[in-house]
Amino acid sequence: MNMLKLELKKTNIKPYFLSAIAIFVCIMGLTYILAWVPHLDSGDKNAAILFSTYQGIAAICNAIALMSFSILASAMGYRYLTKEYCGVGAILLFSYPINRKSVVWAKAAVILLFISTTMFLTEYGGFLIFIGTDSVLQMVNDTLALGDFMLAFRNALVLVCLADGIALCAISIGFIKKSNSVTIISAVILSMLLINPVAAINEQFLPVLFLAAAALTGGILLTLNVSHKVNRMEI
Amino acid sequence: MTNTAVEICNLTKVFDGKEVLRGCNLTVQSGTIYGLLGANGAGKTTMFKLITGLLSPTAGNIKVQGKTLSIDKKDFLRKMGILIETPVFYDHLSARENLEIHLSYMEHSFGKIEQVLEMVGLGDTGKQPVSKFSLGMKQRLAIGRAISHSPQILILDEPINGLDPMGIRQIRNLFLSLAKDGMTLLISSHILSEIEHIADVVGVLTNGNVVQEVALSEIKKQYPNGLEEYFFQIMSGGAGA
Repeated sequence: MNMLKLELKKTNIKPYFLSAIAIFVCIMGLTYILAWVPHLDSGDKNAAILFSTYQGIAAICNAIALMSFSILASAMGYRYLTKEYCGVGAILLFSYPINRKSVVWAKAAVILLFISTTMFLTEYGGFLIFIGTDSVLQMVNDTLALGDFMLAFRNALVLVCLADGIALCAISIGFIKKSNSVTIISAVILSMLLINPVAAINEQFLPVLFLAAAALTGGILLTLNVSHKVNRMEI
Repeated sequence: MTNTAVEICNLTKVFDGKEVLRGCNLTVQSGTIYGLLGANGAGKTTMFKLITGLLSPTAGNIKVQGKTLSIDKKDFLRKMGILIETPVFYDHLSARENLEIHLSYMEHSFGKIEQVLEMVGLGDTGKQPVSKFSLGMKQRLAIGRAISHSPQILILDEPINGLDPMGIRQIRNLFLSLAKDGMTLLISSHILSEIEHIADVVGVLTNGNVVQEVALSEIKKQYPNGLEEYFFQIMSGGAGA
């Protein structure tokens, strides 16, 4: 816990917080645009059907949020893990009488804590804000039930786990290659591979749940490998 | 209680098949200032990294205060203040906050932070983030960080880099007073005059080995032009090299 507190103190969260706010604003904007689609005379009946329900709109926005936050987490991971251990910063970190592995886990925990909180707030908080404003604007021709709130909550939690898993995998791959671009590209590729099932989360919840569990397990195993590498590292 | 702060026996370090240090021996007595000299690439930084456990030796052993250094047991790091290569800080934090983080890792109280900042001439920096510091100020802070947990041994690689003449004098006096209080200092520098001002013993590292360890007073007796003359003679293969 002490290690986590120190990592939080050391981490300059401000630029990432601003990025998370920017993602939130974009996702909110997208939500209102999608809600407006059925009102357009575009002739695209599928789109009109998909975006005429709260869950339909939320699913697409959640998929975009997954991709955005996975990339943000991987950028953060490169800055606070790869760059610190592969540059002169490692001398400072290794000059302390502490377990190197626990520092790696503390860094990963800070990244996941930040990403999980901001992503959940964007997804579920955004959903609640949209519901609130829609009760006035009445853009969506759908009846809201308690189940919709539960569903949105459940989906947000599962997708946060999925984003965490993707981020851990991308950060670990980037760490092995010691490259910022490899980290970001890994996050983009992994989230793109998962974006279709995520967009259909309401119809295919169990497969998405399985994917989230698999990504998280894979991410934890890869981070374990990174922590072993750091423990053996010479600089 | 041993009088030897650092003892290195037959230390060898090989990087990618190249012997950077070969069978090196070095002894630093407690409470002294040891100046390690050598040309660029002689292996001074590698030696310091080995002493601080950042690298593990290919062969030989290192004793710190009589105990053989083991990379798995990191408690010896609490006894050391380290400044190796370019100092790194948490740039968005102030000097005080940087020292607080350092002291938290060292499990040391924050009681002397203000005093340490005064000692290195950064007492008036307040909440100014380190990103706004000049190179010299960062170097002062790095020295402050190295001494903040009251270590018994200070390992300093080029500690006066980036300091102005006033800063050099201030830090020189600080080193002398730390040694007077019983701290052991192991310093490398390219600036021979600086080592000449403060060191008790000088070791010259050349071709991966410490060729001579001589008291500075002896050098001054034998070489009227001082350390520079001695150093160049060693480098050209003279003076018992």
